[in-house]
Amino acid sequence: MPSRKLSELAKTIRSKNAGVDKITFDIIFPDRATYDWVRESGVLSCAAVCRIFDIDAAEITDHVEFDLALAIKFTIYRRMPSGSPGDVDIFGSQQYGPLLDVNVPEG
Amino acid sequence: MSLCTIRRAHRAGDWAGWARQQVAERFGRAGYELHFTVYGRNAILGEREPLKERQAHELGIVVQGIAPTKAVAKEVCMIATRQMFYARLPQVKGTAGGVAFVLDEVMPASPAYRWTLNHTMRLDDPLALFPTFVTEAGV
Repeated sequence: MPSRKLSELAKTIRSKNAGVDKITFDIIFPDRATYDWVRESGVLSCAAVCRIFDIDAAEITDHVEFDLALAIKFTIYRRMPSGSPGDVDIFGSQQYGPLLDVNVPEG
Repeated sequence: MSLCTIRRAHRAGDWAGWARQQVAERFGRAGYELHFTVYGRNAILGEREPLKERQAHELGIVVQGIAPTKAVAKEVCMIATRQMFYARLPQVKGTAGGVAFVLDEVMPASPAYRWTLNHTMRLDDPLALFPTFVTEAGV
């Protein structure tokens, strides 16, 4: 099935600390049609996020599809609190990498 | 913390293991922490890295020593870094330094705390801890 990568479709894909023990992800789309396409494809559903980041559903604390902002947002627990010894991304700003190559099947 | 670079990247784990062992022989295994972050090999995402199969031929290793005192932290970090340089490993042909140094010293980081307590409270009423009242003044 032909598909496009999420990085080709989204306007913004980002990650950032949400407090000291969570990281939140924003995927923002340029228009309603693209937003609906990705949202309805299920490639960023809770189950999909679990697969992409190799985590359990209980590690996702929030998952929101925010129509007004044309955005999908979810928050997951960090592997360790920000700044702990061994933490290599203290602002959580580079954790979105696994989202870039997510394939979105064409409708 | 200190920094070194290494070629033949796929074997970098051997250097870190050697260094950790050398530090343990001098300091034991308790009373300090050593962290080796291998830049160029899944450093940012770790197990979540989707491109694990792509191997670099050269890596940067950041060594962090953490201890109750600055002196011990500096010492374990210095020994760990130098022992990667001196490592005697079967596959290393050179005997005059197995890694490259940008500088041969430990760079101090600021004293830090470890996050242990989440300063949040569960409340039935989110305003319970913020009492408000209305009064008239200056009338």
